[in-house]
Amino acid sequence: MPESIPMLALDQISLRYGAHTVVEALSLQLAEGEIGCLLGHSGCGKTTVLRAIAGFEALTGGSLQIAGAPVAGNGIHLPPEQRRIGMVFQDYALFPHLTVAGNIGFGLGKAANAAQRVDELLDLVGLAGQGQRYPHQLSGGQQQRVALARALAPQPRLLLLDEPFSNLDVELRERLAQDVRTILKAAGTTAVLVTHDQREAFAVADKVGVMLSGAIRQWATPYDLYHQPADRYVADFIGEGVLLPGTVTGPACIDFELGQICRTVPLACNGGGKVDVLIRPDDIQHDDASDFKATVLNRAFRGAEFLYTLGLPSGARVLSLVPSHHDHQIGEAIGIRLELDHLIAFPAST
Amino acid sequence: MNEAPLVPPAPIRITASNPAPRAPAGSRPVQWFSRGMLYALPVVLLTVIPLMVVLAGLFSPQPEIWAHLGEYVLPGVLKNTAILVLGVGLGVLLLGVSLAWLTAVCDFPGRRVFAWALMLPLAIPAYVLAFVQVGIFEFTGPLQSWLRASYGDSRWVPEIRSAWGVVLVLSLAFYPYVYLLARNAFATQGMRAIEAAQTLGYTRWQAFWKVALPMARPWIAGGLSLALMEVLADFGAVSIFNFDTFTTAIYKAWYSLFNLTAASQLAALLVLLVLVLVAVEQRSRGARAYQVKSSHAERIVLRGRSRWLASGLCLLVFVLAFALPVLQLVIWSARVWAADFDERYIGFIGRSLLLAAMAALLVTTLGLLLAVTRRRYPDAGTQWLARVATLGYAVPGTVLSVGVFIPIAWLDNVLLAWLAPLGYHDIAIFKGTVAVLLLALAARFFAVAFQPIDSGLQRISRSQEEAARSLGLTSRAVIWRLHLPLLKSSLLSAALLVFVDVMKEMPITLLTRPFGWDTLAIRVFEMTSEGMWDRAALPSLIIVLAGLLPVLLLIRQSENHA
Repeated sequence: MPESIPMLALDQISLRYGAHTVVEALSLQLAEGEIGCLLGHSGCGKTTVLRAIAGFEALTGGSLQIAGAPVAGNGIHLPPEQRRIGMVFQDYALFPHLTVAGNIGFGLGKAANAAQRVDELLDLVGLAGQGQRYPHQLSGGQQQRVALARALAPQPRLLLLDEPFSNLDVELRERLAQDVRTILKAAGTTAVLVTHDQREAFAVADKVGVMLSGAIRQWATPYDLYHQPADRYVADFIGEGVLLPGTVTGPACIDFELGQICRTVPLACNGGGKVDVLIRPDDIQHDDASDFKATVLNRAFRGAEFLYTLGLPSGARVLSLVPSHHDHQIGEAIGIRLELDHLIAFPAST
Repeated sequence: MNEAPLVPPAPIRITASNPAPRAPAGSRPVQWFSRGMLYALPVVLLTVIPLMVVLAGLFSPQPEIWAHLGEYVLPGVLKNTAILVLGVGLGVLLLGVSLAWLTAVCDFPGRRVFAWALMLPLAIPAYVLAFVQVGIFEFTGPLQSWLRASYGDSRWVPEIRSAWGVVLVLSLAFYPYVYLLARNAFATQGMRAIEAAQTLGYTRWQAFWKVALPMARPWIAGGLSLALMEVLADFGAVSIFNFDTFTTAIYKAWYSLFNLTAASQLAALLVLLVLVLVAVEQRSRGARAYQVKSSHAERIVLRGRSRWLASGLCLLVFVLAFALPVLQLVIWSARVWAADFDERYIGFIGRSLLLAAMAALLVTTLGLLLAVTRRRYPDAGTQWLARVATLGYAVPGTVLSVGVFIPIAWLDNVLLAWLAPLGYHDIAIFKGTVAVLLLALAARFFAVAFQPIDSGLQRISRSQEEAARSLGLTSRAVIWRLHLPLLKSSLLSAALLVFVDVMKEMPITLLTRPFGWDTLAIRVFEMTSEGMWDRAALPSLIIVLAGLLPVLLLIRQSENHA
């Protein structure tokens, strides 16, 4: 297969129920072995996209290709069982009447090497020797691994994961997210994850699409989403941060309360124009030597660090992430310094 | 673990606790017709045709028949029906609610045992309880004979064959419906509500009247309407008391006067009464959709005299409604066993088992078909038809018999008219065959099978189906590899419930059976109409033993819940 053919290609897909549009002209592509993620609040249409890829929802517009072959759209609708797509459900949807091995082998049919494949998968998800147990005898995290193994067993061309960690404890969630990425990468599986939790998205995915009202606002790597948000919504949705007003003073410089930054101004901001500059908590360094003082308005202890909410002389607020041995009380004035690697500015919203 | 259905089911209603499957993508606007409705239709017609045939009688009134009915039949029947509805209604409320409160919320000696033992009377058909109580308490019965022998006089014992007697016996037979539902309500919310009211300054007694009882009202109303449906449908018990109601009047009009029109006019009136109860029952289901799970609360520990009063009340009801009748049945059976048990019994038992097995197979299959249809096609029309199909449970057997017989007789006549020129001369084709009996039984007990299957199917999640599809199964293969294995125990309990209900059933079998096709229930009817209680005891005992099976299932299920 030539390099250029993507494993999954959504071309301008739409899903409408009556007058209600859930997904509008959405496009994305995933190369073989790549893990993509649709990230957004509930109701943004991300699960609908996933179900459309799986074949449980019919497209009302656009088309869908898997490995270059049309699967849906333009009058085609391949039924789910013929798409060779695996799916991990939010509630796992394990079959209670079958053992773990029975669940994993469910999609293998009467294949000669089915038993061997089941053992391989039990190994892969770290459940070797547990094949004869029943789903209800397993912990939530173990059930989740069985669901993953079951979906991977028939070697699907594409794996879909619908909020796969939302039923788990917070601590378990992060560890499993890492594990899932390791397993998927080991199997070389192309996958799409749907979640509302950006930490999960960042932990698992190579590419993340931030969705709002049925459309993808930005499709990028987690690093770029955080440091190069395409618009105000993405800037606000991903990570923490504040927007400070500033003025474009030259072809490459912006003046604002924390000083002047001269670097390529990213967006179409004309000289003299008003802009808002995105300041992330890690952009504000605590420095006792600095002359620029800000007042501690609030503090949240996070273990390794404090997240301080600081009041600037103008009354504007910024966030600052400070190692936790710098223990300052509310009301104290502390020195800060701007350490900006990525200048993000949007035209002022007035 | 699949749960067996609670309480003999009545028409279902789609509520939050019984949600209609999620509409699939592209859910269309309300349709007047859908494929699901087409698949549901045959099952629905099974119930709807008899009902329509009977109700149609109301629109073609026969003046001379009404004149006769109005003068000789209706006054007595209406008065007796009113006595039964009011008297038994009050009786089952008093017994059901008080016993439910005691066993669900209070603590007293024997509470654990009574909690399940008080469900056992469900195993005894009302007609069995009726003849046993009459046999024990009548003038020549063991109680009065003993009183006369010991004290020389028994005239102060009230006459059991009276309105009071019927009301008392039917209350003892049907209180478990109220008991089961009210206990469910009190156990899940009773104690917590009482504690909340006590923190607001109410005494326990005030809290019961002001909080616990009003909260349980939808459950109690549901149990009451089920009990009253049974009262209106009862044929066997009232005929033992010679207490004329609609069901006995229908039977007499049909079998003694051979006046099918009068029978169907009476049936139409009875259906109207039943529909009122159906409406009440459905409303009460809607109101109990939202049920909170209670945290574990302390029971009210009864002290002093009240604890023995509580034990005494439970014991009295258990003895009168279960222990004493079963004991008497055993004594009578033992007495007649040697003389009465012969090869005819092989016939009674064989036909009862055969009929029950055929009906169970038929109704379970139909129930599975409709449950799958309802899930596949979640449009409003299909959901509505599924509801209509379960109405048969509320319709008295005498009414259904009339409603099935009339169209079958018509069909026979039409067919015979066609066949006559071909040289085929007979008086009946379908009339008087087991097929007709099975149709009527299927209409009556459809809901009994449908509900456990339907709720079993609802426990299989959409995502489990979708997982199977995404693993390469076609939608047909999903039924074989996912639905059937997961529904196994629901299907078994559905079949068991229908099986036992058919064994206990009396009026439909009596009215539509083929000539000479006597079952155990028919044997009971024939012996009791001769007043031979002891010879009716043997077939009754077999029926009661079979009836215990689903009750034990129900008890196990409610213990698991608690």
